[in-house]
Amino acid sequence: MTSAPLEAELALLRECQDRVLEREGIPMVLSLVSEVGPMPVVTSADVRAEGSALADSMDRVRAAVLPTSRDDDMGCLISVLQSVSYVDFGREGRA
Amino acid sequence: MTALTYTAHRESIAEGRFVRVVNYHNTPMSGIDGLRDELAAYARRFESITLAELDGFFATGSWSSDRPGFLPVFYEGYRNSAEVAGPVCDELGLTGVFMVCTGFVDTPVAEQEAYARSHWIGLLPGDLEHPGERLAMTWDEIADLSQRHIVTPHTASHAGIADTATEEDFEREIFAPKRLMDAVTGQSAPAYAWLHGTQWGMSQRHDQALQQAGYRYLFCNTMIHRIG
Repeated sequence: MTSAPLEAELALLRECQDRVLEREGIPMVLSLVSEVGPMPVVTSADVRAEGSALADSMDRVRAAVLPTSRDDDMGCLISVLQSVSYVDFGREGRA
Repeated sequence: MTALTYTAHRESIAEGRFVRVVNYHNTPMSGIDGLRDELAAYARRFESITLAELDGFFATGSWSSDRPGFLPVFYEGYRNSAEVAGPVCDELGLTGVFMVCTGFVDTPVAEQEAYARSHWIGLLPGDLEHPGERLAMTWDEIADLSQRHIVTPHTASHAGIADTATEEDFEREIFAPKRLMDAVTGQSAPAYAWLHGTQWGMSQRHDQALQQAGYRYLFCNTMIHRIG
């Protein structure tokens, strides 16, 4: 038996991944990182609030569909980001 | 070096260090209306980011617009990237990122279908309606696109790190594409992407080669790394 949150988040993961990705856009929220020095602090309250909301969505999706995934499992991370990105802005582009 | 973990990504995003992208591959003419509608929806909500704005964010932590930033990215170097995606971006005032497999561009037209099939470059039925027609963009199209968009190498032959081992491989997949692209565009190609979007930190030898070649960004599945 699966829980309601798991079913809902799995359905979302299927919706965003089971498309013709060869010709459809794949929305993603990408982290911006530097390998050549420190990243500057983001001071915009709006940008930080958006980021915080996205991070909360990541936690919710991960807790529902991949709660035992390793912290360094990049495959699971990609799935979480795909779901979060699809809900955040990808679905509206297809509307 | 950035940790390749969920925790590190979550922290970066939570602290505002993120950008929205949409990754495209084949953009056939038959789908131009859908592509236009999709990109127009993004353009209404987001601000198109230029290379200068991306550079600015990495320098200051700020975007020039109050609206969230957005980058449409078109992979492989398909002919329809120049004939469909580019014009749609122009029409909507969007800056596209065109990641080009330079070996695909350099392949004789008669061999391009087989080359694509041999290098994970996906083809659609519409690509094959007129057998023998060109499938990759040309260097002239690359030069033209680069006047308005970010055009930069995605390896030569759609190679992954595991496919790039010898000095000859490094020259062909990393260094030569940068020189070719720079010569054609008159600019410095700013970014690179491996097949499968492999991230920084998997191989010091490969990472250093990207820096030596002069790339400033590495586009990956989950991150954009500033590398130079």
